[in-house]
Amino acid sequence: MRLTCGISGVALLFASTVAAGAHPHVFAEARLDLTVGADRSVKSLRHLWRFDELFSSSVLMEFDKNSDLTLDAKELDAAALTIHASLAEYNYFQMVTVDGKDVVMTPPARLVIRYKNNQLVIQFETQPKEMLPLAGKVSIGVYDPTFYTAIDFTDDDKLAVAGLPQGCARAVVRPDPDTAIAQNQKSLTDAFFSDPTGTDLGKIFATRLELTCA
Amino acid sequence: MFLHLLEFQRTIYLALAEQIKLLSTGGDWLGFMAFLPMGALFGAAHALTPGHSKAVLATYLAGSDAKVARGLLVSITLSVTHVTIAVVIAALSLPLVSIALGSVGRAPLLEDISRGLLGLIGLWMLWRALSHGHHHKHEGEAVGFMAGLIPCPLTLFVMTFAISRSVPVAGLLFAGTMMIGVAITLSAVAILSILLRERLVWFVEGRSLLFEAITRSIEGLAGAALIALAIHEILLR
Repeated sequence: MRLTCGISGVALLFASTVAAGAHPHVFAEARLDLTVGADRSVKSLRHLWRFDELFSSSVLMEFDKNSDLTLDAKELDAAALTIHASLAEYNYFQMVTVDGKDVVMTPPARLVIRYKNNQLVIQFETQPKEMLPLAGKVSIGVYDPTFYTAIDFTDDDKLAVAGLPQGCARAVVRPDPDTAIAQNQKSLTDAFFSDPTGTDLGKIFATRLELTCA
Repeated sequence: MFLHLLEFQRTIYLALAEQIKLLSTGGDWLGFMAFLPMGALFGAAHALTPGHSKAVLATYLAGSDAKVARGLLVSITLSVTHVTIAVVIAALSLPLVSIALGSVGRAPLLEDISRGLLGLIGLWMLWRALSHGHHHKHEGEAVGFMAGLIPCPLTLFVMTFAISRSVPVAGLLFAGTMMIGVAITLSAVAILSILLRERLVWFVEGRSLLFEAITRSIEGLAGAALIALAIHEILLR
């Protein structure tokens, strides 16, 4: 009995290695502006992420080719390209659903990137690929599925909606981690066994904007 | 619990940025020194979050015959390497660490080297388990070094920030205290892993055939786990 325990213990240790690469290295303060058109459909999501100064200094070091301790237009372009390409792989850290079904978003043509007060600031805009009418529950989460970047909306006003039609309610959901883990125990376990590297903690903890329309 | 751990880290990490800024604009070192012990707490909390080769460490020690003292040496070697390599990368601005979001802070080349070497150790352990061979004396420290080759991204960011603010010493001091914290957490993992094995071994002691079979199979399993990890990390990523 103890033997099997010991052996399964070792196997578990191994399993945890594979699953457990991810923890935040970078912190960003975010803002999201959602625009609703006159036709009651979602027109665009505008994202703004302001990165912590420590990470920003590393980006500066990496792209400051002429070593003047600032990023000029050309250097900013190079940084924008790198970041744009890396975000494409992760759907620009967006998770948009309507009644639980995924909504495809059009990738932004470009990122606007600035280096201001020693902080890297990234802005971009995305649109739903197909018309996204406000009906049922539309949910928008912004998070890094790899969990390396912690994206933080410091207060609920940082998830703003312009043109919210009558009959629709806006709510900001900040999952309580313990409840979230308990509620997602089964899907977490399933996800772990189907894809140990991709267990999606970020998705469960992410702050979401929810628009519910009658 | 997990999120509190992250929140705690974020708070110290961002407060450190403020402290470094203060220093670079003529603040006094006394204030910074008073803040410094937070580095050890930060390191300990940080090493508790997933990653940091904890499972490699535990797997290896479970499969080896290391005593607690050697286990500590392995975990300390791991911590020192993990932090030092980040300091070296920052100081020489080596282009080894990704700043691309989605893989930010990772060092693909060093990860492959580290995991490849550990895979070889795994092979060696597996072979030894099958052939009843013997341990090499300094194997543990070698494992600690290899596992630590993956640089600590937070140390790297702290160092580049301190360098860009012309107070590299502040970065170094923080890296040093943070290393102590990381070592404390990893040492706890090492001790737990060794005690678990010793307890198991103690249970079957006296039944020498079973004892032999068990120690061999644990060693073999730990070896296989390290090989599988290397294959997974290098080839299947």
